[in-house]
Amino acid sequence: MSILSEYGLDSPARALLILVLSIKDKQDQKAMNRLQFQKAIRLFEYLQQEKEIHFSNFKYGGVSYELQENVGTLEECGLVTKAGTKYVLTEEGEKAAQELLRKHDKEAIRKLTFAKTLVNDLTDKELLFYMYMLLPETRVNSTEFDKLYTERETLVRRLFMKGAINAATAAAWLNINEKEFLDSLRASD
Amino acid sequence: MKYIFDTSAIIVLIEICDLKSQLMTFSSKNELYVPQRVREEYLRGSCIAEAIFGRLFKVVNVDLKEELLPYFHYDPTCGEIWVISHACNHQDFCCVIDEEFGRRICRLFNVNIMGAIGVIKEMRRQGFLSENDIVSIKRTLTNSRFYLSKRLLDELE
Repeated sequence: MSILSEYGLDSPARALLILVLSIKDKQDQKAMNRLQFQKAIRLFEYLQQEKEIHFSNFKYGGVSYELQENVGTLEECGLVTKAGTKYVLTEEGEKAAQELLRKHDKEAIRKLTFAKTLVNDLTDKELLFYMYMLLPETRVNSTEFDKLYTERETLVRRLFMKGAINAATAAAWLNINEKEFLDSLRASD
Repeated sequence: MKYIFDTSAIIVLIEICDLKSQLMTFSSKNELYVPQRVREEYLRGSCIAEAIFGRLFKVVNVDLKEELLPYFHYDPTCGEIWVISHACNHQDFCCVIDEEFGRRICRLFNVNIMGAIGVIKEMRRQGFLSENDIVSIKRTLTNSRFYLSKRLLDELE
C-alpha cells in the first residue's frame, strides 16, 4: 500500500495540510500555527478559484473545521506533530509530502508556496486584515474587522512594504488613487 | 543585457536620481524596454517628453502570461504583470522592479530581477557613471522623501 492511500492522503484537506507544512517560508521555516495554515489554504483556494475545502465565516473570518479535524487525524497518524503552538511534519510526514509533490501540478504548488510565504511573513493582525480585505464575504460574523479597519492606513502600508500587495491594491483598499498612496508613504517616512 | 522596466524603477532613475542623460548613453550599449502599459502609466504622471522617453526605451509587445493573473487578483491593468510576463516568456530579459510585491512574484516564477540600484551599479560597472556620480546619487537618495530611499541606499552600500 502506498503512503498516500495508507493515510488517506487522497483527501484534499489532508493533502493540502501535508503540502503546506512541507514548504519553507522566507525565514526557511516550515512550522505553521493554526491561524497560518487555515489562512494559507483559504488563500490557496482563492488563487486556484476552487472550493475543495469547506470554510465557514466565523469570528476570525474564513475558518475550516474540516482542516482542524484533519490536522488532528494527521497528528494521530504520526505525520504531523506539535511544537508549542505550531504544527510541523514528522519524518514520515516529509516522506508523504515528497510523494504528494510528485503527484501535484506545478502551478498548484506555486500558488501554495506563494500563500505559505505570504502568510508566514505577516503578523496576526496583518494577516486577518489582508484576508478580510481580499475576501469581503468573510467579514460577516467577524469580531475583529471593525477594530482592524480603524488601523487600515498603517496595516495597508505594512502589507505594501512587506510585498503582500502592490500599490494598486493598496490604493484600492484605502479608496484613494495610487499616486496619493505613494505620496502618503513619503510623508510617513 | 536586455532590461524590461516597471514604472517605479523609471521614477527612481529619471526623476529621483536625474540620470536621464547617463541612461541615454547606457541605452546605446544595452537594450532598455518597457511594455506599452508601463509607457502609458509613466507618461501619465511624468514631466519628461514622450519623444525623450521614446529615445530611452523601446516599447515591446507583450503576451500576457495567464498564470500570473491570480496573484494580481485577475486584474491585468498594472504595469508589473506585463513586465513579469515578458521576462517569463523571454529568459534573456531581466525585470527592473523596485516594489516588493513584484519582486516576490519574480522570485516565485524564477525570472531574472534587479532594482533601479542594480541598474545604477551596472551603469557604474560599464563606465557610464563615475565614483563621484555614485556619491552624488547616494546624497540624493538620502535627502529624498521617496518611500524606497532607505532600501535603495542599503542596496547601494
